[in-house]
Amino acid sequence: MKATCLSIVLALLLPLWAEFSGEVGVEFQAFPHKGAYGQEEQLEHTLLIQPEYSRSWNQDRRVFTFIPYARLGSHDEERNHFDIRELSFIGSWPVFDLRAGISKVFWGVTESQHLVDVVNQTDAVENIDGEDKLGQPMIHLTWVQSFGNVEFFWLPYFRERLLPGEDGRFRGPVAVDQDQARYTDDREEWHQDLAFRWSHYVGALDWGLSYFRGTDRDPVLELDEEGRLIPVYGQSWQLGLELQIVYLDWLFKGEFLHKERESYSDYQAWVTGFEYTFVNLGPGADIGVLYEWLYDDRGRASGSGLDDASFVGTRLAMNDEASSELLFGGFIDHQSADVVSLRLEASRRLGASWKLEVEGTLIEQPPENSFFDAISRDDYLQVTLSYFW
Amino acid sequence: MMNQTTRALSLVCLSALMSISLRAESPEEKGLAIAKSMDKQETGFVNQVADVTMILKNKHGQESSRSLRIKTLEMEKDGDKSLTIFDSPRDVKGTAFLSFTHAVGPDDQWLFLPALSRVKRISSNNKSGPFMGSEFAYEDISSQEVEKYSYKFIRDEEVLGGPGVVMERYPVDKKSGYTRQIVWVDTTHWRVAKIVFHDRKDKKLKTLEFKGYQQYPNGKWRADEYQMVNHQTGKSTRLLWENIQFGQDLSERDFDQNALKRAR
Repeated sequence: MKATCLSIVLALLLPLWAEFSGEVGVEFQAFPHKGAYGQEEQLEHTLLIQPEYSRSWNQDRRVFTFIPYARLGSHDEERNHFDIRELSFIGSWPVFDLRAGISKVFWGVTESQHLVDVVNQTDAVENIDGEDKLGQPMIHLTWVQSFGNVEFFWLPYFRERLLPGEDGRFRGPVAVDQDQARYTDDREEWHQDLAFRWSHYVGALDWGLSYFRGTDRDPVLELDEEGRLIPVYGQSWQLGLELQIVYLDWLFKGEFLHKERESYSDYQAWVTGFEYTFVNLGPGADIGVLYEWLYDDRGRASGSGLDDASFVGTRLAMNDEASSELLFGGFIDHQSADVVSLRLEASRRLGASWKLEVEGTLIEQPPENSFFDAISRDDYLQVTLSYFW
Repeated sequence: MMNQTTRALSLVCLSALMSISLRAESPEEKGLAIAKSMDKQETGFVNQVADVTMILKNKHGQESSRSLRIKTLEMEKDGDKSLTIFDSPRDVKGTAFLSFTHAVGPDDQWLFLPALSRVKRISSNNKSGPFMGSEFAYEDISSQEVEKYSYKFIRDEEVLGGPGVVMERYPVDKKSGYTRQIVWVDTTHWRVAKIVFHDRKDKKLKTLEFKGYQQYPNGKWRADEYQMVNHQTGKSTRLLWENIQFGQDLSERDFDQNALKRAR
């Protein structure tokens, strides 16, 4: 019976396989130091795979997408994981778009930090940049009006943050025991979260105003009775505003957040800055200069190490056949005037189907008891070679 | 494309053209009249979808290709809207580019980055930059509005096997990568056969040739191959157009930020 089922599934899937596109990559990470909390390994190579099946019909007004994702081979068992990044249907009708299933939504305009982006949980075992997200089950309705898009999100199931385990880098002195996660609400993962967003543009100005109410995506880490460090997910609500103005070769950006949390104090935070691009230098290359000011009114208590900091960076886009790009930047703490960390990201396509990415982070002088302080021995260099089909 | 106005203006121009022998028309007026005739010929395509293969050739003769789908919507009182979806190279598959062109003032442009599911408003100021690493600049592929240039008639010449003209046009926007463009147009169907681009130092930079013109059921003519040669670098890019279709069931809703997010 099982064999029959399997062969039926295979018979259905195989013809579809040809329709899949996707990425397979090998990622090498090198750490110059041993970890501060007993992590011995200084080299790690992992395999990542992300196939994609998508189908559009009716003038691309109906779209079905399936994107599974897996990473294998890490020393850290928490980093070896499988996720469904996307399994969704989108339909578009004259005055609304409807998306149902597991999907990903991005809110924001700034580069150094994504402050108001709240719908999807961060996949923190993938990268410390917070840009990798777990697939979020949702019903997403976009009402299209002359005054912009009004969006409604119903998020029926909460995804816990994936955090590094015992053998993983980028963590504090004690690894979080994620199996012991607790919720302040009885419905736990099944708390029904809601979000709204209004976005529009007039001329050079784009904006987005958002509201979210539900399980806080950021867990609070607490020691339980047995001395284990456990994530506790409380309830929260937040109001976010994103603004961007395009003027000649300037982009002016701002993200503003007001967040209220159960049993913790409210706070305000913002990221605001600009990007200026020197265009078409030499054979078509662009050089961008970025500046962003990050502020969090909780001060050092925010724990990010970026509660009052500047991000200064430069972006080089060669606009060549290989789409060569480079981004280099760093955070500077305003109180100490020290460099908190430096980061480099570079990529280039090799031939038609391969891509080489190099990424590195150096932790310099982070504020004490901050996230960057905890990971101060986790400087790394990462090289990823991916094949796309 | 300003349908009504253009139509009215074209009538004026047509009468102007007919009165050439009677009244001394300046080369500038004659050039503008040609541009308006070309614009009028373009008017009324309603919308267009096409598959495009872009073949990049470097100076050593090595080739690489990209494939994209381009949808264009004609707007009654403004520049066209277009949505470009990239299918290859595979690492940029699903990346999409939405552009609202305006006859006057900067275009509005957004980019969709599938890896982050992020829609990014981008500056349209960099019109002289290369499009996808090719020899085409953004300004070469965006919709050609009459107001974007000033014009000058140069001479009559046979073009595409029939009567035609050679004219020059000068970009109004100081951000353009060109001082002037020399354009060969046939005066029967107002099709462009060739454009020679001169850079900011007025040095010959590129030549664009349009090949394989075909007339579609709605009366519109389209070339199925654009060939751009860069004389300064020795590189070239060919755009091969396939499955060109007009009059599809498309509306402005298929050219908004939601359509950009749906692009796969």
